[in-house]
Amino acid sequence: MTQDLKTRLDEATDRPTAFVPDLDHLLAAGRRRARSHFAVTIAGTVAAVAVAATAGAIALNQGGGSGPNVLPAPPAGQATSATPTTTTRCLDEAGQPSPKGADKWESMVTVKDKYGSSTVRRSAGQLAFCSEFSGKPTIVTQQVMLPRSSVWLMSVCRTDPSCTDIVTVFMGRLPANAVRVAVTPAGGGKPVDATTRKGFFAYRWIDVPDLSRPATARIYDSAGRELGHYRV
Amino acid sequence: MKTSAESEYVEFVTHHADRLCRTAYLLCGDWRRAEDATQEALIRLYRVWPRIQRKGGIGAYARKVVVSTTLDGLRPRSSREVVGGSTYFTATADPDDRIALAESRLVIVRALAQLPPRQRACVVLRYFDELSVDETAAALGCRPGTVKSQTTRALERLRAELAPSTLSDFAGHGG
Repeated sequence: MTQDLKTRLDEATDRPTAFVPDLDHLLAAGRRRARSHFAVTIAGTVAAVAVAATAGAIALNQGGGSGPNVLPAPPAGQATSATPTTTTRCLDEAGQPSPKGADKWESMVTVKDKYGSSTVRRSAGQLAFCSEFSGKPTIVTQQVMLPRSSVWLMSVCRTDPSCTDIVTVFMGRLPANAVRVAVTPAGGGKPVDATTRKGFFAYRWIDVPDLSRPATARIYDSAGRELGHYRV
Repeated sequence: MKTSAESEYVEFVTHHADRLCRTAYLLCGDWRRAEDATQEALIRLYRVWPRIQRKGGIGAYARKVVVSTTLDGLRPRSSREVVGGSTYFTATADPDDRIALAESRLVIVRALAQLPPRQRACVVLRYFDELSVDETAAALGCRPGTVKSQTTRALERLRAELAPSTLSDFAGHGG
């Protein structure tokens, strides 16, 4: 009964030439759109986390808002030069604590500094992002989930009494086709390549977070083309 | 996107772009806008292609994007731009010459122009793309009951618009 309507609709769309889009233009525009969407997603997510991390860092740095910002004095009789306790924390790709023993999984990539080390570990398809550091982890531990990648900001207060600097750990899975991650820490300076190995990357740096001069990490493919960037 | 996935995307575009453009034309009544909307929809499709490929239903998703892109294009971009309505649709025949209009293929397009965009989309998807009620609801992001009621109202209005023509027997079949 509605065949007549269909016929009319078919006739109405009849025209001598079919619509053939310019495929080159379409593909170029699609790639460009995908790249910009990737960059915007990353920038937005990381910026949100950076604000949270910085706010937490400031809160910790202020120590409740009164008095000098120093760590508690050690108990009487305890040597101040005692070696601080080493702590390892591992979180999975969803930001949840990793299973027990994750800190012993196969190391994919690791970075170290004098305050500790950070390692991406893998076992049976599961990933664990582990950070080892002296002293107690702060609450300023954030994870950023990204398309095809996962970046972590695991900021810890330095163990020295001034407690002003933040160790930021930046690690995750390299996006497809990416071979290099160049990091420019907050405050500017020359970009430094993150350590990459087995499809993962990691980089640790120590600074005082400054939102007015964000850190930037740019991801490149083997041809040197930028695939996306993070601003922290 | 991987080369193989991109090849499949190109193949899909090659085979379906014209049909999607025709759907867009019936929704907006202007070939140039229909081509722009189709192109925009295909670019959007590129970005999500790997995910849609995994999930399946590429054709349905593509049609959904075309419909939303085309209907978005019908919304006025500023208070000074007037789109939609019968004046928006291209018509070459003299509107006072009913015989010429009846003979023209544009008569159905002009009748569609009288419908609100949602009702127009229901008619086009149901009777041009031959989608089921459920498929139409999925494409428009509404409930099947809404599609039925909108289609029924649309057919009633089309029958009134096209009364002098031979389309008197398709009203009342929204379901």
